[in-house]
Amino acid sequence: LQSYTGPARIAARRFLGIAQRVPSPGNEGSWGPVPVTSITVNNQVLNVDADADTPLLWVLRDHLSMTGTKYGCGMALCGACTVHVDGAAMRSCVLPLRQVLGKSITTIEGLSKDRSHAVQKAWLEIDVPQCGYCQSGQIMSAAALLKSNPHPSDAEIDAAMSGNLCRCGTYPRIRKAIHRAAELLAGPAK
Amino acid sequence: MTELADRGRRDFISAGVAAGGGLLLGLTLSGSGKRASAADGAKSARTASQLNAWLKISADNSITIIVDRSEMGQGVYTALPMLIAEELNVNLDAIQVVAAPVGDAYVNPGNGGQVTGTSNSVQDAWEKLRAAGAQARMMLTQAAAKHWHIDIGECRAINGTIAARGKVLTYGQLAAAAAKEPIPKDVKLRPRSEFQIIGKSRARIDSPGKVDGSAEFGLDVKLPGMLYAAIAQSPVLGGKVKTLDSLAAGKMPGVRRILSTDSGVVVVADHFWQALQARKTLEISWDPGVNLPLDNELISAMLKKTAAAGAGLTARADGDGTGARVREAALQFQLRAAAAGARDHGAHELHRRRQGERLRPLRRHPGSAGGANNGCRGGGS
Repeated sequence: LQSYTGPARIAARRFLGIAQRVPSPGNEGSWGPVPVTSITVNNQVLNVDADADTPLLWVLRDHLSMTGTKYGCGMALCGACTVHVDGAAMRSCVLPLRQVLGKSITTIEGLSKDRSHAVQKAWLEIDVPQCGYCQSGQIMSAAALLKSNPHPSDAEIDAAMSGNLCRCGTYPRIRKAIHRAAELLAGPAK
Repeated sequence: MTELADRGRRDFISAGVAAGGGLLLGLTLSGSGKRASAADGAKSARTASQLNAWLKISADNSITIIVDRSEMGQGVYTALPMLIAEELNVNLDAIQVVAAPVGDAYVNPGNGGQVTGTSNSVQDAWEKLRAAGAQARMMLTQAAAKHWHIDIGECRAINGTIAARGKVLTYGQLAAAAAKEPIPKDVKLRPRSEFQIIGKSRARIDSPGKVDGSAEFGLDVKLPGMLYAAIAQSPVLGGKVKTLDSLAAGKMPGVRRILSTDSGVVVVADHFWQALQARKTLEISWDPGVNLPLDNELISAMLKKTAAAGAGLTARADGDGTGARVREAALQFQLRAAAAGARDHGAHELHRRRQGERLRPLRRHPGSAGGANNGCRGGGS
């Protein structure tokens, strides 16, 4: 507890009226400060010192502290790590850093600033998540699907989303929310 | 162990004044089946570690509960506030949930750990949190009656305020005074027929963080200077390392330490990916130990042997058996990975595996607050 600086601890300390301690610069992690390469994530150019064969997932999570993208299987089988690379849904757990240099990466954190993306709105309206672990990947896959196919059928949704597993079994709500997001993207009802 | 726990002992014993002026109620979610409320909490003040959930009403009208149970999709961050909101007479949206950090104060006395499981969170909290909500409401009402010098019977709790004779005070305005009121011992809970919040579907309060990536899971916790470990373990439970060659792993980028434990080898590196890569290069031969022959058939045979040797347990004993038809069967269940959950909307339903897979209505059971959402949720607690 003393050294844990995550949101739960900060919230708990705030709740209990304990002064917040700000982590000292240079003590956030053990990696060195020397950048060896830069990548573009959510429209920001960021320096990372990871080996070029490090999967993008770990660059995002460990090096850049963007933990919204999840580690599931590490073998591109479950979809929890899905991000957009130049707009296309990709499994970041098997995508080496060297393959995304010069490309535009979008993660769940960058889909919108305020949960205003149509897919996020629909997700909240239908209240899709249960445990939530797979949902970043589900949402990124759904957003990519709707970009290429603004009005997918049930069968097209199932085909496009079949690589995103949900152990809680939220599939019926996911499908419903994708239809709803398609409506939202199409604009106000005529 | 920590300043938080120490503060817990000093400041969070039963009711008290919150930092900044407000009402605090300590209560116990024990999982032990022992009923405790804020009133009991006062009696058990010497064992402050048992007070592991708190209700706080602040001067700014914010209402917070700190919950020692993990939200893992079972809806506990939504269901537990529903219990409080019902009796406190507030809108559920007015309540914020704060996850309890790790600390002695949050150890579940029922099992000795900071554990969420066995589907007991709502069952355990069912009366306690409602009682805490009711007690807080009564203390606020007492404070309002004193303030206005009127009979408590004239005061009504309405949506986060106490009103009487056309005058209104908010809970926040009353919180500091309410903290000085005695904790009511005689608490009358709302009958089921008057429930406004419990049993009604509503959106989960944890959903927003799960659609923007900000929800914090165990894997997302980051400590200052944290290293990452990948563990190689015996393919057989209880197996041990016979020989280890970690020379190559030790030379891999980012690797800091290679440690041996009773059950395996731990590779510690700057980043998780580095630890994973280095683990692949470990040369380990395993001593599988005594469990090598253990398989489903052997476990089944052991269970049958044990069952045949003992007198067994009586699960239920209803009636005297007169005129009953006797059926005998040996039933064997495998461990089920599927999640299951129950929902109460008049009659119980049991669902398993996926939302919407309805099995059958069950008999009513008093210890259920109903689903926190449309349809029934998976297991957990």
